[in-house]
Amino acid sequence: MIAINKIDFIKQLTEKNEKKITDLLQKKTIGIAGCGGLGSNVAAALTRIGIKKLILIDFDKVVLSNLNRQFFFIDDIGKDKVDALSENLLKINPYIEIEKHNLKLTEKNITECLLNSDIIVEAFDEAQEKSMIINAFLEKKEFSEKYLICASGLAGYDSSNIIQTIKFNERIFIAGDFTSQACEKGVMAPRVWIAASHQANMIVRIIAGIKNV
Amino acid sequence: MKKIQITIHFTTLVDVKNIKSGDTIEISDETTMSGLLSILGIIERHQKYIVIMRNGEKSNLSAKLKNNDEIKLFLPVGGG
Repeated sequence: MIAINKIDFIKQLTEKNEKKITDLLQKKTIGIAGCGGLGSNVAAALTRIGIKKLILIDFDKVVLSNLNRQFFFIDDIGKDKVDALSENLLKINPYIEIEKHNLKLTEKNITECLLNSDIIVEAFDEAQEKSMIINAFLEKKEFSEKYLICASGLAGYDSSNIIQTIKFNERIFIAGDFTSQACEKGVMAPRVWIAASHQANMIVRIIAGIKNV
Repeated sequence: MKKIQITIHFTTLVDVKNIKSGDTIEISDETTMSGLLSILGIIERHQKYIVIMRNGEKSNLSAKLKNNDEIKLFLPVGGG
């Protein structure tokens, strides 16, 4: 690790950011529900721009096939995703705060895991899991002041330009083309990263006080 | 049996029968949300996890529809 204190590190890391957004990012905690293709890349983007804290949630381990789109490396294979991702993010910003939950997120543990998040990222693989988090988010009063950023439809290599972010309601945004399914078209870095970047940018917009797409 | 009118919005893969998002349709006042989804051609497997909003609030399959309800449906697709 380079010998540089936190204040100077964050200042240099975020030198190319807009100044006022860095101050806001340094106050926010983002929950990442799923550390695969979407979650690992949203986490990396937010780490690079100086987010204060991430809550990483995943029950899985890194396998070689993850490397076609996820923010992992050969040395990570076999590690728990939350551990490997945490290590990789700390290589970008050693001062980022990271809370890890190596578990499967369910309706029962979601409140406890994500209570301290300002904004939650839905970054699951399975459609049913995506619905679970949206429905839990809508039902639980603990989430009534938070935002949820989802993704749906990022498989294959159809046009980049049909991936968009929509506002589902006042507190839920969804990125994707809403139709391309992984089971039919496969998932690869380019479109998964586009969707992940949509999610990350929507988070920045919300943090900046912009509540529309 | 009376008829009521509801408006449906969806952003989803769902193959909805002859209806565009934003359309208003006429149904029986006895119709439940599950019944509506069946009318729309949404299969039972998808009904189990589709996100249903009614007049801005989360709803469920057993809810009975009322005149002028605004229904919003979202069925995620897999991949991440």
